[in-house]
Amino acid sequence: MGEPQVLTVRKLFLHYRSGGSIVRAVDGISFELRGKHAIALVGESGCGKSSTAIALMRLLPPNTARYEGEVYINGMDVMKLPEEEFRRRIRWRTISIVFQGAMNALNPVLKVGFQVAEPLIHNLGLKKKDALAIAEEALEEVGLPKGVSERYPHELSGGMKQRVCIAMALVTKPKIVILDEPTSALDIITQANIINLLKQLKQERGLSYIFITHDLALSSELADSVAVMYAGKIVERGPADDVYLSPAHPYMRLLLNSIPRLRQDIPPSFIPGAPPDLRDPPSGCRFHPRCPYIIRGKCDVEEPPEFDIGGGHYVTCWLHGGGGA
Amino acid sequence: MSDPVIRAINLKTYFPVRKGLFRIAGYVRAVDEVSLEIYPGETLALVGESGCGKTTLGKTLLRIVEPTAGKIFFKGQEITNTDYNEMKKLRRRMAMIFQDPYASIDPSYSVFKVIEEPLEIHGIGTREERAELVMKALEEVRLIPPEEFARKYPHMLSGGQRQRVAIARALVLRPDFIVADEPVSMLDASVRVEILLLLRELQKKHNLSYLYITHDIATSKYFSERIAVMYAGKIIELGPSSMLLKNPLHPYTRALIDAIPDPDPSNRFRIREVIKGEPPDLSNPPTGCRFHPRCPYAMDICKQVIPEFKEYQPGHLVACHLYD
Repeated sequence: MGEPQVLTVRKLFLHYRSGGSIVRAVDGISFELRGKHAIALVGESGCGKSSTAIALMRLLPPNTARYEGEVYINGMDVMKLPEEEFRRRIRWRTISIVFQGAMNALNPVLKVGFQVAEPLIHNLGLKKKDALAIAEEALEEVGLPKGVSERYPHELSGGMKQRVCIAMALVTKPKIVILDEPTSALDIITQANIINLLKQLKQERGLSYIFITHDLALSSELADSVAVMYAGKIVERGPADDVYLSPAHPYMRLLLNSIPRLRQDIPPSFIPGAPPDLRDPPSGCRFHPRCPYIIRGKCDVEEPPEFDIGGGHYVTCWLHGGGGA
Repeated sequence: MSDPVIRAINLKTYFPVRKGLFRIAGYVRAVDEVSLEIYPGETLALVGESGCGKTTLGKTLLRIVEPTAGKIFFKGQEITNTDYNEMKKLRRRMAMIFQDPYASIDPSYSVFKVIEEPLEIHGIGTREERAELVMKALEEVRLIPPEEFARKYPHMLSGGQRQRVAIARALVLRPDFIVADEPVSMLDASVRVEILLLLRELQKKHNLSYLYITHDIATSKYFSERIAVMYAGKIIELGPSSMLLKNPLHPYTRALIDAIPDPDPSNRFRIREVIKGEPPDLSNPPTGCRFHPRCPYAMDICKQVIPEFKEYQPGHLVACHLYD
């Protein structure tokens, strides 16, 4: 398996207050990420994918109700670090993020080069002149033409703006980069170009990615391993070949069946029902109200633990454990 | 084959680019010399990247946007210059479904009012008859029980449910032709399939014709009879869906197909062949074939002569000098 783990997440929780109730967005998830590997965090909107990113970056909104768990980066539990130290040592420097829709959140009145240099100035304390020089290099590395640093966001196409955002996430030379739907606003061809760039950067710089997406076809472009989220929980995780080719959780099987395939003739089907309200998730397995394989009296009552089905493939489903495991 | 529901001949929709208050500096050629037909009970998928003119073409066919030149026929009747009152009557028989069900539905309207409004505008039925039609439409899009959904407001619905409301609103006037502009692109994969299957079912039941505008070729493979590919204001290839996807002729169609991944874990080991560059500015498109600056097969003639849109095989048309 080679590379050591760069990130280990154990029982991570992030809950929000909303009105009078608690939204259990991230509800005790665990996963690992190896060096130079990419893990895809997949699931439908509202399943807690982006909240996981927020939790890992410790960029918590004011209505946070519960934030706990263990997050080991290179062996150190960074959840124990005070904010000041986390800001100096971890956020951007070790783990960075390309936010969803970031290309539309670039500051319209600042030159692109300065925006890329900002994390160097604010988080790493570099001088402006040095920071701008490094930013220039970063922009070139993501395939943008020379001189782009002197331009404003509105002068760039969508694909170029997304490259700027990637440069921004890489400029502090982190080892782990979270990509939250990095191509969702782009056209097909631009998307393919950006994915190629992300593949090259991963190779050349030995990066590890957490690739957050709802698109199971796109995630297969980068993922060495996959974690499937449903209603705040990871229900299946393992090597990409296992999860894509022999999915073990009924949710993942059905989700894969809903993807229209271009190179095979398999009419897509849908999963009846809708994901639950995270303020009041179902008892037992959260997928049980939609599951065609439900074991009555078990799945609707008792929450399944994570079962090890071999080769680093884990599934949270009673069909795979029942009595024995 | 029966007569088309919609026929466009050499349709052009140009938008003036103004400099100062009055001077017209040029035109954005959003739709440029497009000809197509859509037959009863058929879905024609119109695929292309953003800014290629596909939404403008859809709106022009309904005359929500006025054409600059060319002709539009609806069920054999020319509607290119039909006046407002006559057009209003015809609009009963055409409808549009928009991409964003969060923006296309008035948030202050109840579901009932959203669906009743078109009936009111066209002066159809008494209050009681309208209520009955609304309930029937809700049942058809499976918002059940209809009485309960009728009372709800858009913010109480999921994205998929809102799009069902939009479909019910489009259907309540019993149209023959619907332009569905990226109707599922904001929805999750499973809901996407659910809505597309619903549209298919309603199509069969009412013999509807759809123009399905999308950037997603994979769904058009399963949910359309024919596919038209648009690039920079022009349709560059058109044919039966399976034929076009198995044997794409135009280099742009090939590039689009090659750029789309299937869920396959071996994808991670390869760098995809992708064409470079961006679609052109439609106020100043390239000479000759508009794709030539990005085309890996561009010849001298491609820079000078606009390729003719012509039949390569029965029903399969392409505009490319490689097939001259």
